[in-house]
Amino acid sequence: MQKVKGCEGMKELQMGAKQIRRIPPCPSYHVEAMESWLESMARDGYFLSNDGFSLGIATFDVGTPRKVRYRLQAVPKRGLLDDMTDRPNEEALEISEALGWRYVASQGRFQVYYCADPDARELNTDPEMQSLSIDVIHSQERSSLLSALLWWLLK
Amino acid sequence: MAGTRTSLTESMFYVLLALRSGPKFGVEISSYVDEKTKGETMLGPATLYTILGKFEKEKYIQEISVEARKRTYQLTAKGLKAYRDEVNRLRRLVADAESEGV
Repeated sequence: MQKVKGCEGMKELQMGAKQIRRIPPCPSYHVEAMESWLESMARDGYFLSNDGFSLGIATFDVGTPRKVRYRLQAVPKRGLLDDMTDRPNEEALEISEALGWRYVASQGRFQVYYCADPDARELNTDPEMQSLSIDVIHSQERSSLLSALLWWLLK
Repeated sequence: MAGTRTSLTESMFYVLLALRSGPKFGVEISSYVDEKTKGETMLGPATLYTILGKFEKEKYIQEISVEARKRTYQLTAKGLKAYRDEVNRLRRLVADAESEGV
């Protein structure tokens, strides 16, 4: 798989022998680039830690280099209270595990799933739905930005 | 564009088909589709919840209960009509192809 442009020269913050932190080379909504970056990190022996995204920085566990797959799932907010959690619900976890994928972390409105089994089927089989979710997320982010701007102007 | 489409994607079609046979929650819908298509069509969690959210908004389905965080959905009359319209559309396509000797 092709290396993500700009990935090579990134600043690496060593945290000790078992984990490293890196700044992702692209935003999450560049889904394929982010997946490609995570997979290239795994081939170098760095695996995204559980809940490994924080303040835009990714934490990786150090392990034996191997080829694995990562997939980002766009999850738009379903209501005002939906901000309270960014983890998949138990039902979503059950569905993904039945398909051979494990939830690893969330980055914004994207959930990252991991699969080490080369024979497991693809997680995203409907690109149109994924694209629709990303459009909805963009629209929600624009609304949030406008609301924040309006609030700032009125205060 | 996805928002203005008149036909259904394969995943959307199978979600309606799954609910046509009775109310189901997410895992049941996913298993039904997997079994019905012999693994050809798979619904990952995000795809499934995007479709359920879209169908709820379009009133093709309605949530009828939440139990142990599992939401159960049932098909509405509008959803059943959308399903039947799609079946008829697909039949028409196949008939046109057959009229040309496939």
